[in-house]
Amino acid sequence: MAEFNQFNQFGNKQPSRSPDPAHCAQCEAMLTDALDRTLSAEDQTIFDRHLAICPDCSRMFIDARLGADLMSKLHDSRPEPTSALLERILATTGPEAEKYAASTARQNTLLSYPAPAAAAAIPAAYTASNVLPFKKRLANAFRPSALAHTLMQPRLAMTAAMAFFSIALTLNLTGVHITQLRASDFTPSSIKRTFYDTNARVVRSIDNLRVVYELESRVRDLQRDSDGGDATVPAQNSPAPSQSNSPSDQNKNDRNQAPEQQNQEKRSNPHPRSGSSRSLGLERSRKFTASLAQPGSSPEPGHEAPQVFDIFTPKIYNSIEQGGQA
Amino acid sequence: MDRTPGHDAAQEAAQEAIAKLVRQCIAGDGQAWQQLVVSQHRRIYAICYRFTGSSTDSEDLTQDVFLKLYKNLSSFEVQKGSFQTWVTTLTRNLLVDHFRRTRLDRASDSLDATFDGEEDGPTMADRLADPGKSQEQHVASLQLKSRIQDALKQLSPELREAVILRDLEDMDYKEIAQVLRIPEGTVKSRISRGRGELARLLQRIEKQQMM
Repeated sequence: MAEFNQFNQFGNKQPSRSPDPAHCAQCEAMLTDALDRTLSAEDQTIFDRHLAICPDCSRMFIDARLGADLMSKLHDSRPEPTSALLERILATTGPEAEKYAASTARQNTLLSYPAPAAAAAIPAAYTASNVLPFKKRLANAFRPSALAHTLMQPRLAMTAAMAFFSIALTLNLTGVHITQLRASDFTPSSIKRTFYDTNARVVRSIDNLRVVYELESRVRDLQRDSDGGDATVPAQNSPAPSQSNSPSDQNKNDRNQAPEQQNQEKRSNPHPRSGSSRSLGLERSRKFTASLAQPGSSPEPGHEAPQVFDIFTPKIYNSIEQGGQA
Repeated sequence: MDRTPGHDAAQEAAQEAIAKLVRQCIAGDGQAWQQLVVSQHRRIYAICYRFTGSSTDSEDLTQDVFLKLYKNLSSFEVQKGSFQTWVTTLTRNLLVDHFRRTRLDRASDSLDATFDGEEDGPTMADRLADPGKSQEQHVASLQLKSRIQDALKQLSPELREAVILRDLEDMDYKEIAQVLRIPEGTVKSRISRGRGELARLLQRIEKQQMM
C-alpha cells in the first residue's frame, strides 16, 4: 500500500507531483472506461493529453492495464468444484431433502421440538417461519403416537422406575403390604393407629439393636469405675495439713509425694504422645467426676499443690536464710 | 469482456430461463431446484474460491449460500431484479462474514507462502512429465495463475470483490454497484485501483522469489 499511496488517490494527503493535478481525479474515474475503450472521443483526448504530462496517472494506467491482463488469464480457467459438492448441496436443500428430513426428524411431543412432519405439507422454504401455532402444537403433542413417544423416553422411564422403587422401599420399611390393604384401612382412625403402630415398631426395633445394648453396658461400666475411684483419689491427692505443722516439713512431704504420684500415674497411665486421643483418657474423667463429688476441691489437687510449693518455697527459704545471716 | 448485442441477448435469455426455474422452485418443484443448483453452483464456487483462495472453504461457503438461498427463495421477487445479482449479493454477504470471522487466522499468513496444494498450481504429474516446450509453457502458465490467485488473496476485500465481479464474473458496473451497494463511480475507481495494486503485488512477489 505504501507504494500505492505515492499516487494522488482519493483521501491521499500527499501533495501531488503532477503538473496537472486538477485532472488526476477525472483521469482516475475514466481509467476503467479507457481500458474498456468506451470513452467518447472528446474524453479520450482529455485522458490521453493528461497521461502524456502526468507520470503518476500514466503509471497507474499501465498498472491497471497489466492487472486487467493478468485477471483475463484467470478468467479462462474457472475453478471446478468436486462432484461431492453438488451431492452435498442437494442432500441438504430442496423439497426432497425437506421431506427426508421431516420423515427422520423427531416427532412433536411435549418434551421435544415442534414436529417437522406437520409442516411437511408446506415446505419450510416457502413459509414465513418454521414455528407452528400454539393450538396446532398442542393438538400434535396429545396425539397417541406423540404421547407414547413421550412416555418411552429414557429420562421419563428412569424417573418412573426411581419413583416406584422409592415408594416400594418406604412401604416395605413401614410394614405396609399393598396386597393386604382394604378400604377400611384408609379411615382416619385406622391411619392414625397404623402410624402409632409403626412408630412403636420403629422404637422397639431401635431398642433391640445390639449396638445400643453394648453402648449402654459400656456407659454403665464407666459410671461404676468413676464411682469406685472417688474414694481413693481425693485421699491420695489432698494434702494433710494436720500431719505437718511447719512449712519445711510440708514442703519435704510434698516433694517426696510428688514423684511417687507421678510414677504411679505413669505406670497406670503411660504418658500419651502428642496429638494422641489418649490424653483424654479414663483417668482424667474419673478424677473429674471425683472432684465433682467433693465440692470445693480442684480436679487435680495432687498436681497443683506441689508445683506451687516447688516454685515459691525455695525462694522464701533463701530469703529467710540470707536475711537471717545478714 | 466486450459486450456485444448478441452477448447481451444471450444473457437475457439465460436470465429468463433462470427466472422460470426460480418460479418453479417457489411452486415446490424438486426437479427445478436441482436444475437451479446444477446451473449455479459452479459460478458461486468460483466466486468463493477466487475470494478465499481455499477449495475447502469455498465448498463450505457454496453450501451455505445454497442453504440461505433455499430459505430465502420466497423473498426473491422475479420482476424486481436479476436472479444473478440477488445470488451474487447473498454470496458476497457470506464472503464478507467469512472474511471477518477468519481475520485472526490470516494474521499469521506470510507473503512468501508456498503454492503447494493450490488448485491452479502445477500438479505432481505436470512436474514429472517430459518437459517439452509446450509442457514448459503449460507449467509456467499454471504457476502464473497460482501467483495471480495468491496476489488476489492479498488485495483488500473491497478492491478484491470489485475486481472479481468485473474481471472474472463479467458483471457490468450497474450490477456490481447493486451487489456492493456503492455508487457506480466508486465501483470503477475500486476496479482500477484493484487492478493496479494486483499488478504491483505480483511484481513484488516475483522479486521476492528471484531473491
